[in-house]
Amino acid sequence: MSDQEIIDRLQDGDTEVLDEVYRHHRDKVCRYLERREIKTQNPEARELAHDLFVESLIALKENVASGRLTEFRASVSTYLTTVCRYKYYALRKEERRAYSLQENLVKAPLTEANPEEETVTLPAALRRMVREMDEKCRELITYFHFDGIPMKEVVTLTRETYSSPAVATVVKQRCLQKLKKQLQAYRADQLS
Amino acid sequence: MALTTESYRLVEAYYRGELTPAEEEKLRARIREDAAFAADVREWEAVFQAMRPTEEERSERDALRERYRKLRDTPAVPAAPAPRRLPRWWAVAAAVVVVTALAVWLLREPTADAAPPPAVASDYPFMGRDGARLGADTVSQATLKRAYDAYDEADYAVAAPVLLRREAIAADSLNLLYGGVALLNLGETEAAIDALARLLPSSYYEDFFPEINYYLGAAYRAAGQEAAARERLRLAAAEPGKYGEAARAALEE
Repeated sequence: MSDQEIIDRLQDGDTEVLDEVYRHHRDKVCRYLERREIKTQNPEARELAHDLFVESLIALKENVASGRLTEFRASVSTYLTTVCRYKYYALRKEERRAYSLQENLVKAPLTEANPEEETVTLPAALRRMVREMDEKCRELITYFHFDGIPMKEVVTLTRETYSSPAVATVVKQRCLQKLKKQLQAYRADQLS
Repeated sequence: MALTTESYRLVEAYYRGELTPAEEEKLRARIREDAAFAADVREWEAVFQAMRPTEEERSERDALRERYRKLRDTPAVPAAPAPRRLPRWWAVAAAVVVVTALAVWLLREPTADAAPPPAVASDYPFMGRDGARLGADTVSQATLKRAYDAYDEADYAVAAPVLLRREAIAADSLNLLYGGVALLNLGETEAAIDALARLLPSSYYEDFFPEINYYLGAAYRAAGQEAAARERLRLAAAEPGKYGEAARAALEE
């Protein structure tokens, strides 16, 4: 099954394709994680590697089904491995803080929301806005913000569309400015 | 513009967990004291808050976790191909193969552990670049340098795409060796086999045959092709040096 077929079927809501991806890539990715990242081979490491792999499948499913990811410039296997690696790094970095693999980093809001504002619809609106962005913005925001992959690795995943992480960071910032403006307009509409 | 850039960077760093507790406290203090800054932070925060998973996404995630947790201990076999009608002679040949394989399996030496063996005795030894200039002339110097640095640090995800560019493989097939090693370390075993095996017909790379055979053996083993793995590892094991030693250790395993 080609990577494009995986994308097409996930976009069509065919969840069975995820089982096929699971069967095809699980052992390879988990073995890689145990040997090269976790660097331990015991039942706990195996379980952790499996949990990481499942999280990468979830990221794949959500990103493709929501229209944020429409093609793989690298392979699906590279995408899954990269997501796993950075979820593992985040887990190690944050293991003493409020982080869990399933919930990601839980951060309390810095500011108080406007009590008159309806915030429930914001996530759906933002997802639509991301989906409707140009391909570069969509890709950068998906990898960096939704998957938590560092910019250095995003440059690799995008097959070096950007000459350096710094260049990609500047482009991403412009994309986020655009997103912020759109969301501001949406929130203003909701309040009026 | 300056304020919004600054607040964007701080809010992003906060939501990615990149601020220290002291930096977080400083940020909160500034929000309390600077109304314009607080207003800008609020706008950015709306973006980052909206990126968090929704309730619906959370429940779908939990369902998938539960689904795959149950499958964790099942063998991950590839999807079965569609059935095909085969000629009678093929069925007879297949029966002979099955009976032979069964006999070999029944007569095999018992193993201490039923778990699949690791690819090699331990982690693959790092193959130093020794100053080799890899990649292709068509790639910018900055990209090449980044790929070299990444390779030297065993950051194969960054190095592999540069080493395995089409023009790099065409111009200097030593890229296939380093690229193959990178792919193997990334867990892309089939692609690693493909890259490394392409070096075998050329006598030009004879000096590298211990490395090629060792890594190819490791890749075959990682792909579950044990007979091919042992053949390559035996060839590497006959050679002196680091790769001969690593191959001997892998064969003893």
